[in-house]
Amino acid sequence: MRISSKSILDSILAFGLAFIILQCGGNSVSGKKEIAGSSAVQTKEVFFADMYNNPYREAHLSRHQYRGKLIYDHYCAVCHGENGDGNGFNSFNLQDSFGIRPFNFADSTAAPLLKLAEIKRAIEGGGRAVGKSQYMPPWGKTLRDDEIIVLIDYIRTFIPML
Amino acid sequence: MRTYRNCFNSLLLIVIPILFVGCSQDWQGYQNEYNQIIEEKALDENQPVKIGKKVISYEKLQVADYCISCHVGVTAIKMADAPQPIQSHPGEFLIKHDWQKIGCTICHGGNGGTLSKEDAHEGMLKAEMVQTSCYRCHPRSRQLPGARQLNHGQKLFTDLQCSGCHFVEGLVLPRLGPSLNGIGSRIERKWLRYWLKNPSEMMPNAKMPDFYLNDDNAGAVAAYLKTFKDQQLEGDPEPRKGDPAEGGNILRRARCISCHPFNGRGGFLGPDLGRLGNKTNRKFLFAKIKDPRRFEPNSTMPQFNFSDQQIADVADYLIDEYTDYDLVDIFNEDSLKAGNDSTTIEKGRKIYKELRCVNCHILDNGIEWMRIGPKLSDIGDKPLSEFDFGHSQIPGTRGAYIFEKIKNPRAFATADHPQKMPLFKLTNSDIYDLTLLLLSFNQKKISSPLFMAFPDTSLYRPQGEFGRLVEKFQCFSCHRINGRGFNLAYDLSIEGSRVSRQWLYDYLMVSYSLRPILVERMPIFNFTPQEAKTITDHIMANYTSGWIPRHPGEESSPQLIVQGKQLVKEKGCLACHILGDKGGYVAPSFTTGALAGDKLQAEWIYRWLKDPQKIVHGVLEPNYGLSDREALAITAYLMTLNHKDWR
Repeated sequence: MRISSKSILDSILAFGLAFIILQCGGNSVSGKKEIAGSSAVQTKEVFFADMYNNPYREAHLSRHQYRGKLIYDHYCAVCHGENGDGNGFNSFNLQDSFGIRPFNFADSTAAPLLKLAEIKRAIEGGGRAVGKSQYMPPWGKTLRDDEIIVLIDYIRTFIPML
Repeated sequence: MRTYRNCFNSLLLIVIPILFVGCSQDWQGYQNEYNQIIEEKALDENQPVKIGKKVISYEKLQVADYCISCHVGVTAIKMADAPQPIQSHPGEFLIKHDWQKIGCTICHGGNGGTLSKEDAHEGMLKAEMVQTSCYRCHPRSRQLPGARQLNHGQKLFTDLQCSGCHFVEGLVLPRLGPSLNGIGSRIERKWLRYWLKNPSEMMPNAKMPDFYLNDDNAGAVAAYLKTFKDQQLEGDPEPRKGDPAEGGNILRRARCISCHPFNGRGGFLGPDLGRLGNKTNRKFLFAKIKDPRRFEPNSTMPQFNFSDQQIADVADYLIDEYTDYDLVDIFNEDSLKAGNDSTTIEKGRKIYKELRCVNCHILDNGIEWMRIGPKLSDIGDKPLSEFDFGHSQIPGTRGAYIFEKIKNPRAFATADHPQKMPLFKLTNSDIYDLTLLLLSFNQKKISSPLFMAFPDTSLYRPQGEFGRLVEKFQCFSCHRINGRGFNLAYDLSIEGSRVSRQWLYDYLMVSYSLRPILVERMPIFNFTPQEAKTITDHIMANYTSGWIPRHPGEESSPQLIVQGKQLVKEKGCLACHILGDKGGYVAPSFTTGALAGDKLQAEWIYRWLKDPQKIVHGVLEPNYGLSDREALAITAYLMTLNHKDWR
């Protein structure tokens, strides 16, 4: 059988490519070998929380929202109220002194019109940033970016669905 | 033949490029996406990444994590709302930890050495479960900022005295239960019996667990405990007659409610006093208030400077007012015999020994402390085969086992293996936190010179006369100083840089309420002038901060004060502070109570305005980002607020 130079070239090319493919998949193959013994038990254990009542489940919140709740209860609830209805204990003092109320997130007419970007601007820059009173202070320098994001995620749970 | 080979080769040439595209890695896509987001949002803080595999490697800890090949954004700022996997890491963990050395898998588990998504995430710890890795590097006895659930679990573990029966390496605690020496002279027998049967029914905040005792057994233990009389207390003269009405006034003035709840309302440091009259007698109460550490050397109750007459008043008030007459009826109708005979007492002793009451309580009766529970040092990675699931149907995991065991201690008991653990009254989320703590007790320890050896600050003990006063008034029950103590009240570590000497002395002499919404208020100790002076001198001299200089050159001018007054109104400070008759109730008032000009030092106010959270972590006052000039103006204005000028 005669062997042409072209077929040799083809074979080398094919062999080389096959080699590269193997290399390419190599990572995952070797990875699988390493962890073959390391128990499915561990994986189950990681998620045992989902099978039992954990703090998130009790409040029907996602993990993000639960982190937001901790921040909200600490910083915001004194005025905006624990349920976001603008009835925190300090809201009555604001009403008496300045005739204003904190925003009511549970209000079914005004709240659904709120844009998330607007909430974000109000949190970061205070009431003045969205054309309201200065009695809502700016939190942009106190809370970090990720804290503000989870906070908004939690505040969204107060807003009634249209 | 040749045609076939040509066909085959051509086929290969077509198929191979397709395969190539197919096996191009996920991480390339993520890195491209990351660069794209940076470009779109024009985020100057972040640099675009160079496409390629990325690895964190540190030889000494045997770290080689490829996680950041996909999670390119973890360390980037302003990527908090990017989609996974390029989202930045939440919280302050990466700021506090040297991530370039410890990598990801030391905390998160999983497999760092692979680039395949499924393999890398196998067995990975997510969200709050990551806290189970903290004790791989940090000592177990330490409260860790940021690990909320773990800290709560540890607090429960200490409070509930788990270490009385279970050994945990690195978490050796003393016995914290009240001493039972002389209990026969202190506590009524009927109370003891009902208490032993179901502690949380008798007292809402009882820490003692339920040992599933029946009437007879509880009665026997009560009879046995009743034999331990305190001869000295028995020999004390009967205290003088008090005036209950006056006692009530003293009780309210001294703010006992800051620590003690009464029928579930009030503080949480001391036991509930709502049924005190049913529980104990005047004589003991008198002796206890007079010297709280006479019966329990470790008691955290302060010694008040009451006169004997005042103590008698308080004792009479407590006995009169806080007796539950329904309970008296129940006690009277109780038909069970007292059972003073020796067989009952011997039976009580046997049960006492069997339940290992001695693991939490001190009692000089010859029974020694012996831990009968299993060792928990490595329960987090103990082989599952060593857990006895009994006939229970729960999922076969360690977490589920521990959760179920705490929730229902006898859940796994079988006829052959009865179980002895008592039932603690806990909510599900408490049990969850405790489970998380137990899962973190494992043998996967890492020791490396990389980690700082933290000094154990919990041993801080002031010396001399001040030390004696701290011991007498138990300041550490509420205040924290240099890392020791409870954070219920203000941290006094830099108090000397905060307040003025005169104010501090006056406040100690008359401890008025600082804020309207404060719940746990400082008790009135009736300090003598000498005691108040000693405390003031020590605080002003020793508890100062290096970065808040004492008595700076105060800059103040009429224009600055006017500007400051204007700023206070413009910035909306009155949402929380009261000025005149307007303002909120959240923060201290500018008009009544302790005024800034009387109480605080100018330099401290300035630093506080610039960054409140730097001084008190998590304080409600927002950081307004004031300029130097603005902060100076407000400081100058606040320093003009004092009682002299208001009058």
